[in-house]
Amino acid sequence: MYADVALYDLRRNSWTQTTAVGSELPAGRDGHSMVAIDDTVYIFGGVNAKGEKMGDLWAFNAYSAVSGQLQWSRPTPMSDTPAPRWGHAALASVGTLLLLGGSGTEDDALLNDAWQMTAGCSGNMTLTAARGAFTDGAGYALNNLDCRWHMKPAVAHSNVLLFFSNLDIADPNDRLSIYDGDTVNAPLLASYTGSTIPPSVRPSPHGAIALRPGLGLGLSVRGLTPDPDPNPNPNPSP
Amino acid sequence: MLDLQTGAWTERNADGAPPTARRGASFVVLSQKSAYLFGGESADRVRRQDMFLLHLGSGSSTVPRWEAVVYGDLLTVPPARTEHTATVVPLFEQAGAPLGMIIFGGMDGDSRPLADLHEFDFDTWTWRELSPTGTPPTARKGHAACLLLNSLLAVFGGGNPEVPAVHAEPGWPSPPP
Repeated sequence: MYADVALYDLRRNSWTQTTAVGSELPAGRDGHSMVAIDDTVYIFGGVNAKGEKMGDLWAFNAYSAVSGQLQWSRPTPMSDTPAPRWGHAALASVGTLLLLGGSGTEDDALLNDAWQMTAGCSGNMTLTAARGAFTDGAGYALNNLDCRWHMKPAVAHSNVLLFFSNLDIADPNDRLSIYDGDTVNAPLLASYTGSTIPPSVRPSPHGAIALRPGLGLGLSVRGLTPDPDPNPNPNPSP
Repeated sequence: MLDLQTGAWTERNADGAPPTARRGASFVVLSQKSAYLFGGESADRVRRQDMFLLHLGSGSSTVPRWEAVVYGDLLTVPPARTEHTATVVPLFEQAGAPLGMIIFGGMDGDSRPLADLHEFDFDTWTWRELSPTGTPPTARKGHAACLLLNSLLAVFGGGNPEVPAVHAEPGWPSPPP
């Protein structure tokens, strides 16, 4: 089974082999799917050399592949994910990945389920990890995008520290709003548009924060990080 | 057909000359109006090199219609194969770079893996084998491919049916004798 990425240049009529950098690589496989959404290539599933069906999702950036320094990443799923499978169909449609059917783990049983993956954000996501980064994805957001992140670390008595590595909102009518509580009805802490990286935010210490980027095109927020306080108060007031 | 807005499936019967039942075929959609099926294998593992065009029409009221592709030049048709990839690409050697299709690899009639590239012209229904420079990927089937940056065909993974799977990657225990 192969795990290499080769590029055929349509203009130059030539093959080049890419070199993957970094320690994490997808296992060699066949019967997987491969779909490009904007500049990001996603691969999903397939069967490895041991005959195991896989349900893993990997991604690389097209420009990194062209530059000869292909770096694989494993996008963090924000929802349930399709069961392991091979021989399925997948395609890209308006910024989403559609996946259909295939052959599953139980005696190669044929599957008839359909899945849709939105790169970046979609709907409500609850983040419970002690530390992490998230993004609404590269490139243009879909029209009428309304995705919300709800940070609620599983660690008890944790505080949330949120900081930004990138903000790029093209339309001034679109906004990223941060609320001090479980819902967007909680007090509004801050609201941003444009491309100035906002200062970090430390909401009141109840370990919950809700974020809602505005509707519309051109929203890109990267690297928002829920981070429990390194010295949480061991005796929080009730 | 799956309606992406409502999530509802509807079964659509197509008119015309449908392809024979098969697996491992490729199926690409061109400009939302038509789709092309190429190759694959029958239940008794006979590999195919035939091609079918599915006219999708417009709107849900249109009945899709199959049409068997009559090749412009039989001599340039790629060898029969299954588990290859087909990708819609711009044909840069033609004025205006119209869309064409490239197939890569797969498994031939003798179950040998392939590493060849063939280009299909949707206007003339003719094939042309490409002779690229550089080092092609090793022959393979069951790989996946996609168009990158509107100028590159990217290929990932796949296997070689002539290499027993358990020997394909180092570091795994040998199978019991």
